[in-house]
Amino acid sequence: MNRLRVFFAMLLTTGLLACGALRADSAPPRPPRTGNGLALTPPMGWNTWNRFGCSINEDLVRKTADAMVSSGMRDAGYQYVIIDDCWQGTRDAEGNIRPDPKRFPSGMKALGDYIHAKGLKFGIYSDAGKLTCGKRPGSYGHEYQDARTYASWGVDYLKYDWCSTYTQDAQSSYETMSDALRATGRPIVFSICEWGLHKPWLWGKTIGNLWRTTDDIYDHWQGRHGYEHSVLDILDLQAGLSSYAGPGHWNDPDMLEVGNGKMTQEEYKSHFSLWAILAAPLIAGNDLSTMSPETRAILTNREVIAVDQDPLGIEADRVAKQGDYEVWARPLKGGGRAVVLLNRSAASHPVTVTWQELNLPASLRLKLRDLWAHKDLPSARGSFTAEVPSHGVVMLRME
Amino acid sequence: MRRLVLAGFVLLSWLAGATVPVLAGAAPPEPPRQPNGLALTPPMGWNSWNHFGCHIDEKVIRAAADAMVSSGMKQAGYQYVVIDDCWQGQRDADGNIQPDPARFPSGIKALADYIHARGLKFGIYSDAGSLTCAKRPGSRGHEYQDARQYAAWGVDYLKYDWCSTYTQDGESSYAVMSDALRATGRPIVFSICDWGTNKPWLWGKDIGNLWRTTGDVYDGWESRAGHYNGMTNIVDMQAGLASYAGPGHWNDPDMLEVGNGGMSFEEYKSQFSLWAEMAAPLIAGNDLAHMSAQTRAILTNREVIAVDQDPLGVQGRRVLKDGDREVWSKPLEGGGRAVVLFNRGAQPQHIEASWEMLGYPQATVLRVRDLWRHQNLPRAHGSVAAEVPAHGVVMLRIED
Repeated sequence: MNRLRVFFAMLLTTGLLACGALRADSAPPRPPRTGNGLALTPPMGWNTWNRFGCSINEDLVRKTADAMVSSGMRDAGYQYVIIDDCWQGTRDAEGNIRPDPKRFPSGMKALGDYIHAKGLKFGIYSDAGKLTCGKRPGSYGHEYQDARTYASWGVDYLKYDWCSTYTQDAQSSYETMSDALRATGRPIVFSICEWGLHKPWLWGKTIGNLWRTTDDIYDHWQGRHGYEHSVLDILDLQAGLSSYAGPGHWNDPDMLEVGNGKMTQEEYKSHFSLWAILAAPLIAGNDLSTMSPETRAILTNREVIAVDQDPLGIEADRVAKQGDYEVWARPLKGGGRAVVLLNRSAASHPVTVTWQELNLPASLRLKLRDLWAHKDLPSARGSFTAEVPSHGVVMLRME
Repeated sequence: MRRLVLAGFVLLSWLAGATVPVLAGAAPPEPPRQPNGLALTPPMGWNSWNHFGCHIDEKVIRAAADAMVSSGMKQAGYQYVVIDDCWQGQRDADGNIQPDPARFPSGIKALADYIHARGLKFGIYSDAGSLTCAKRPGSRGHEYQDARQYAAWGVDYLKYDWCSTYTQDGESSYAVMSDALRATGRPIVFSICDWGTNKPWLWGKDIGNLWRTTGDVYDGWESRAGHYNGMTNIVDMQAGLASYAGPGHWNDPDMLEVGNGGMSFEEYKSQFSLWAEMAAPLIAGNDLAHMSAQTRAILTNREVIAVDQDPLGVQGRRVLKDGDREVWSKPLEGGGRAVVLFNRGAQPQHIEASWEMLGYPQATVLRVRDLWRHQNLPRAHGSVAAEVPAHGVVMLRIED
């Protein structure tokens, strides 16, 4: 009898002790969140980093805003002029962040006003840790202050990096800045940039509008360079993530390298086409003021952009792969499909898409349009084959 | 993005044969922190929560400060008058936290001035999450602002709770507030209150000055249905943690319940003695303005306090457990020991502490002093023993 009492006493005590603190309500689930209602299509714009890195100033940003208009990019849909790392100076006595006075002598509000006057939107950058990747002050511990500062400058978009975060929890860190942005009352697109380390697709939907899925891109078609990924590398790493994307919350395979010189025109066309079919943000990363007509033609291909911006917002899957020949496809609003036939090999080759791969009946007759040739093709049934250049694509709209 | 920063790291990792993708911009270790130089002995003071809970206002706090002086507690070493949860109001348009105007109409600075004018120090409370445990605004995302506000008010001590933190990382969350406090330039003792959830003893040393090791204490000898963590349960949960404590960084077995009525006189003496033995913070949790002479006598026992405040700062350990008889030993500066003979049984018992348990050679002759009777006992060697009351202690100082 005694032993039984001892047993139950131990059980009770263990249970009580295992329950932890009387006030331990960190265990209950988070309060539910909703999305911020922004970025119902993937954001389009330009960012300083891929081409200019840390060497930025207000002249560059203003000139780029000008070029975004004069090149036709704004009219093609590009909105956000985003300043990446290295704009920051020091914090003032109240802890408010200030721009580097040498690089941004007119101040950020003036720059925001300039951008807005051109019918464009203003994006900026910070980091969830103590320091940014460029070792400028990060936002950790200052989230509400910084959000308020950005709102007062007229910021419309925040890219939020993940350097110097040590053991910080990613979801909580991004949630805090997400809450801080919302508390300003100003609509600010929130770009989660923790490189996919903590699977942001699992929690990013109600916290941000886009999340990086991999480490940084670099201006190459294939291969790896340390932690940097080529276009094909990033493409392959998107596998399995398409179902997480949708209006207001996108997978982000990093910014465009189109126009930066280390890939061929064919490769840049492929890069752009694949990003569009992946419902990726289209954030140009080249020098807009000096871009070639070919580069501009790629970036302003409205038919390809229309695929990227399709209101249904469904990201493509790779629906077929035979060695170096791949078919990527996404459903479009109205029931059609966008299709990219990709040739990863060193020689031109035919690539075929079957209707079965598109989950369509073989008997269905579809109108086809080539989105780079800007030509209607003869309608087809069952399948379609095209000769695809090496490292190139044929991109089609089928309805 | 981190090209310049990580090129070397990438190379090293590749050379080291790392098969893990070399992504992690977070991988290099954080630059080390230094201790803040505070709390070289365990903090002593009073906190509003155990007696008043959420029912606080500036009158209650002022009364506690007055009583801390008039009762002799200040002279006995108690310094910090700590306001726990429920002082907060809303944040203003710039995000700065304001006190609840109904409870603290004179403002926090006036209250801090009042406390400082009495030669005492001022403590306040916040939480690492979005809300405090009583659902007031937490400091999450406002750490630097809040630290600056506290410093401007004259805060000397911050107790930082762990509610509404969800998946937040413990160490980072406390580190950022620690950094924020230091950035103010004002010395502020930092009390980590995550109830041991994130094993703060592993990382708390250079981040805070004390860390809670368990869930909250309740005013009872042992756990009962609905009330975990009775006093003896908390004592047991300290096992294995003693080596993490030292000057500037203490294990915190939660605040004293002495005088709150849920335990007997012997039991309160036991709590006070064991807390001193464990080099724990001595944070009184009763109504100072209305305490009995007995309660006051416990809380102001200078000889027991001296054990707690011993400059060596080594936490005592249980060196014998024989059924419900225990012997605890704490090394003191100068080579002596504080010894607690602890009787957890329902009847008085004879308890003996051998020199072997205390780490002395058998033949060493030492002085023995009873710290509750305030009497010297005969010099002894080999062992010392006493008759110990039920649920009570005999506390001895043994030295050369």
